[in-house]
Amino acid sequence: MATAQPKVQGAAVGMSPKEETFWQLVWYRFRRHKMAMISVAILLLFYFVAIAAPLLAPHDPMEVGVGPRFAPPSWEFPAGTDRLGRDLFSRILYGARISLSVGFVAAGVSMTIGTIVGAIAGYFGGIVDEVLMRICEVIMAIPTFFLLLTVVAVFERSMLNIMLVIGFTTWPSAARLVRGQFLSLREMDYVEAARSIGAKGGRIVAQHILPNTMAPIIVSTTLRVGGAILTESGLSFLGIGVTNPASWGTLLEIGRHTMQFAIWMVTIPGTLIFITVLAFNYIGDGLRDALDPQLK
Amino acid sequence: MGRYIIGRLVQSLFLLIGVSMLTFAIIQMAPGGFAQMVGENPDATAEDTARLTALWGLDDHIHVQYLRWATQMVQGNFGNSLAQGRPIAQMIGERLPATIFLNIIGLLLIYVIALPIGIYSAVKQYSKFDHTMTFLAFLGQAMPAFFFAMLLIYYVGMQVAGIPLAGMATIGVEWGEVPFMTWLADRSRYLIMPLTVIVFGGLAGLVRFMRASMLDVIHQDYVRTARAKGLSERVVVFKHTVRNALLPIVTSLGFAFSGLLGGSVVIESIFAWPGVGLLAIQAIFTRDYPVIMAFNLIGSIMLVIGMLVADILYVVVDPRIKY
Repeated sequence: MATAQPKVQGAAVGMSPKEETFWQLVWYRFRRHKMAMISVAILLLFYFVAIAAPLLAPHDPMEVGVGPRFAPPSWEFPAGTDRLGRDLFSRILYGARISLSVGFVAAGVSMTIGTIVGAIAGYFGGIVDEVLMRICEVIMAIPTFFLLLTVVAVFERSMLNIMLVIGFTTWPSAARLVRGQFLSLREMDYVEAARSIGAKGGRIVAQHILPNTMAPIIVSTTLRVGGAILTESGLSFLGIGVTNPASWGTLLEIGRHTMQFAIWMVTIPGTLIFITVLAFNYIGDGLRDALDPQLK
Repeated sequence: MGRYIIGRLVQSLFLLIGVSMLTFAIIQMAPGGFAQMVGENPDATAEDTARLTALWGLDDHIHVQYLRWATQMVQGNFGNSLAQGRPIAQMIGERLPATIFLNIIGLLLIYVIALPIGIYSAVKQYSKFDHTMTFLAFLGQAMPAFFFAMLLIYYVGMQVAGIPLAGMATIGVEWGEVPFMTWLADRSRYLIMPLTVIVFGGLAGLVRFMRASMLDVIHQDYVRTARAKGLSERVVVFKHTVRNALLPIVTSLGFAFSGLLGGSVVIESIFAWPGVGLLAIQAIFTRDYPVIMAFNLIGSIMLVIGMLVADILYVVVDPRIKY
């Protein structure tokens, strides 16, 4: 990863002059971002709970009548029960699997397409760049939420489709980000040097340019995960999200109709979405500071 | 300047053509095709589907269909809603003012509140105020608008009398029929809830943006020069810093408006605000494709106009850019 090493201002961050790898430095700087570290801990817990949901859930999330209807949170039912006497705690554990994976897959799709398109546009420039950027502009010219709704209306609303749709509608901003990086990096002296010793295009991109765009890509991906979770919950709230098993957004939507006397059905899933998105944003912030101190 | 505007107009036109193609393509990708989707009705026979196919010319080549649709669009004929059978232009026309009304007021409030906070935060960087605001902005950005709306309804709307939770006006309180103050008070009361949610949702991002933009400028050499030659802090901040820091904010206006437009789908459906967002949701549920297509076009026309205005404003406010 030697090529990825930016100018390290060792003295500025109080480092010893000893050689350290890029990622050690990143970790060192990231660790000092208190909120980001707390966020990592919280998310690790959330993801553990989501994965272990079948082991941890006291009841089947779909089983009706395991308790009284609309029981407020108690020791027996930590998140209360719903209209059909289902255990909300179990439903939230299973919902975590949906809500937490939507973010990653959607952000992954968005960033992958965006990086490829942006890299091609930025590296080749000229007419290729023109065409690709015009396509991005067209997609960005439709208000994102409208575009999402259109695609959701047309295709079957499965969990996978929702993830893909969020990814497919948000990649242009990623493409523009990566393109911008490529445009400036390809003019760098070390790229010129690589070219002059006969390196081929693919090698230049993979070895010299891409590693240097990693910082903004990683930060943007992290923020996109949070954004995608928000978007999915928004779709669910409108009643067009993932329903089986219900995501946190869907649980909140269900709770909304009876919130006069069962507010916990709204506050618990809502708070969980809020904390998750907040955690991803803080991690993104921490990564930005850690990966590129100059970006601050 | 005139040339620049004409150039941008032409560019916007091509953008809209692209949008119309994309929208058309998405609908075409629908599994089973248009006629079959309409014919999801279990009573529809193969004969019905065939008749609809012929009626709508669905056997024609795709480009013929697109051109036919696009020509109608250009003529302002958005077709009829499948669900309601009424002209779409009329349906949207009825709803658009309510949405624009809500969003323009929202946008104004967001800018009026966020800019001073962002400026002050940057001027007093790392102060208590700055830390508090940055923290609040972080919270605001992570808060789902609908969740905030639910909390607001439960903890404020349901506790305080006199704040309507749904709709836009009391029936019978119409412009010109009641005293102006009565009308204004009524409209304002209905605005409280949706407007609070919109403003809350938009503040965080803009505060952070404004703060970042200010910090960029504050560290410029010409600001140091201004300080060095002994100008008062007031002049340095307002004349040399704020005016330059506002430039990137101006360009964000177009996107800000379209973001609000998309967000108003959620807000309108929560507060039963009779705008286009509510119509959009109904169209999604009834799979009213012509309405959905019209929406995308109108949404992007508004976005494109927003960006155009922002770009022109940019040239106006920044004398360094000449065309």
